[in-house]
Amino acid sequence: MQLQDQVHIGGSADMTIETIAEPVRKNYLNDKQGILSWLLTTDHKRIGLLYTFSITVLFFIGGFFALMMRLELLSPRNWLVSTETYNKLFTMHGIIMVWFFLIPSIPNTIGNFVIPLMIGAKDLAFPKLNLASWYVFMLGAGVTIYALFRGGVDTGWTFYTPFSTGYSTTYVIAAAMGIFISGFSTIMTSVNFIATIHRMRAPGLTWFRLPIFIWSMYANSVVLVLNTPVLAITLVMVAVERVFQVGIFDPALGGDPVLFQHMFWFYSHPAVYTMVLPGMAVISEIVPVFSRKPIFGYTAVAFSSVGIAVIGFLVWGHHMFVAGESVYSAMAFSLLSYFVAVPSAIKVFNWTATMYKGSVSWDTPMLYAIGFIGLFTIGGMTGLFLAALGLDVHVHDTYFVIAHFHYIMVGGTVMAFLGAFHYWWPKISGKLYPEGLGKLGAMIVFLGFNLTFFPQFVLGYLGMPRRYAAYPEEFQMLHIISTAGATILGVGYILPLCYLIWSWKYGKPAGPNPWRATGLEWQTSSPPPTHNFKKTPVVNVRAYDYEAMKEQLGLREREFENV
Amino acid sequence: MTPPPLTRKTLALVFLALWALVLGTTLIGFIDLGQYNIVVSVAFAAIQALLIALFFMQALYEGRIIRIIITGGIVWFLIMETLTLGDYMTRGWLPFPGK
Repeated sequence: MQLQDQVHIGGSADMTIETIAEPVRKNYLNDKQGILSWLLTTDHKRIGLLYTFSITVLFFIGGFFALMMRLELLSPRNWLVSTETYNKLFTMHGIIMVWFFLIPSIPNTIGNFVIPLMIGAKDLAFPKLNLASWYVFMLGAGVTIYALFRGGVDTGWTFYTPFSTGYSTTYVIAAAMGIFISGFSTIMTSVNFIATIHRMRAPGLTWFRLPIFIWSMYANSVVLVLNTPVLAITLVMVAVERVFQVGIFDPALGGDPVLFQHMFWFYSHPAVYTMVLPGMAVISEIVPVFSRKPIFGYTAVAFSSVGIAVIGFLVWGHHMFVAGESVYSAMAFSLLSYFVAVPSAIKVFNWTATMYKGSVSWDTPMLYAIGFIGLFTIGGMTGLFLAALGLDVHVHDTYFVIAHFHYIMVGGTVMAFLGAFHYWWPKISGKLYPEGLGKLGAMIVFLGFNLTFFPQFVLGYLGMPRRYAAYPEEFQMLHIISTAGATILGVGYILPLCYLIWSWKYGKPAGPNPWRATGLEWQTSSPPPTHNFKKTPVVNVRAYDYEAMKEQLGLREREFENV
Repeated sequence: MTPPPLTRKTLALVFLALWALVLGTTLIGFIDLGQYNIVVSVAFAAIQALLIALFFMQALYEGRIIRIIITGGIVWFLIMETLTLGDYMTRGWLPFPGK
């Protein structure tokens, strides 16, 4: 470890990062004690952990609903829950997973923790705003859980009108209010990230020396600041129509239901990218480290995040091809939807090219990263099927769509989320997790995921519609395979939770830089001190400079041998 | 940060202008200008939004990055409007089968 500490101070001979990764007894975990020190903290690292705890609980609540649905679908006929309850299960699963897990998952946990560390800052630009965002998030989650306990919502996570405004007898307004409140939390965090990345980078850390993680999180934050207010006003209009019978979306009152879909998807399609951009951010960090190479085509990967952010705003109409949208408008949206595949493909090709002729090691984070690349590619390619006007008419609102977006959101984002936690766990906890169990967990998740969702492509193509509790008997075998996969997937998610908690107390000390990575976050001790660095780092090298590190490593090893 | 050069007089004038525009929007509802009713109403609303952004949100006195971000927000809003209205305006271009 002594050798590692010396090696990773800098990446090249002329690098002047002036931080010494020497062991620090006081760190952000033991600096202050007591529950209040956590509830009133303004330390970005502690707030990241508060978010991690909350989001993990919500993930398992959302996962429980998914498991109930899968159990119900074991049989072609209703046997476990009523059709009304089934409607509530898929609605609450969607609401909790989208707004209370996927969107905040990586930014608010890992992003909160590592962004200031990666750019050499002591904290985020607005630490109090950061803490406030967690409280607002918890309030939003609390209101949504209230809706759940009062009987739930049955509109689907999309709140389509006029059902949501005129016909549903469930707790639509409470659920919408929970989401509305959580939107403020999202905006607070995003504004914080934007200001921090603009204003608090270490001396010498220019835009093109930043890790790709920062580029992606920046693009992600901009998208969230621009689209979240549209969702907020749309949900307010749903509430206004529902309560005051003002005709906005309901044709019976003089409104237009497709207008709701335009506004909802103007938010929600970019929101899909806000779920996967942070995942891409993580993969762009993991792949170079475990390939021992700089990322291939740094500039292209950096700008592809911006490209996804921009083009992602122009494609929402592909959700409405069969909803009465004009043919001309549909053609334009179809074409624009193809365009968004370009920056996504740039990333996939460049990650692959980074691995090419690299010194690839198969540690747990890399297994998750490779899983992400494969599953995201399948999810992305089937997205092109859905962007094609004619094919979309055939598979619209079927399990094909379910499989497609789960390949992006679960195969992509959740894999990246787990990869991120394994990669930065030594920094967060100061401890190493058991690598063998880590690899086993990654393989179980990959197997369980594919077993759950691949049959759903077939189901959808054969005509099985989404959101039905009962179905023709010929679909049963595929549903049974899917449910079996979901059970395996559940085990795959519980396993890392168990050994990560175990390693928090019993894991071996990690040292400052167990992966021999180049980022600034690895130049400080693990766990980091409250203010991250003893001295503000100064950077004069590009990101992922593994060639320079290799040279320096050789030099240090020789020095070490000579001593 | 230095406080913006906004006087009470300026703020009061902007406030009065906003109310004048509200009055104008209301009055225009009573006059039949045909298709131009909507044009005038939207123009009044746009001027109101502009006044609020420039003076109350102090965009007039902010730096380049803030102005770029505000412009970005407006461009994004226009994207939503343009593509949404593009749908509504082109729906009648293709005749319904059998009609």
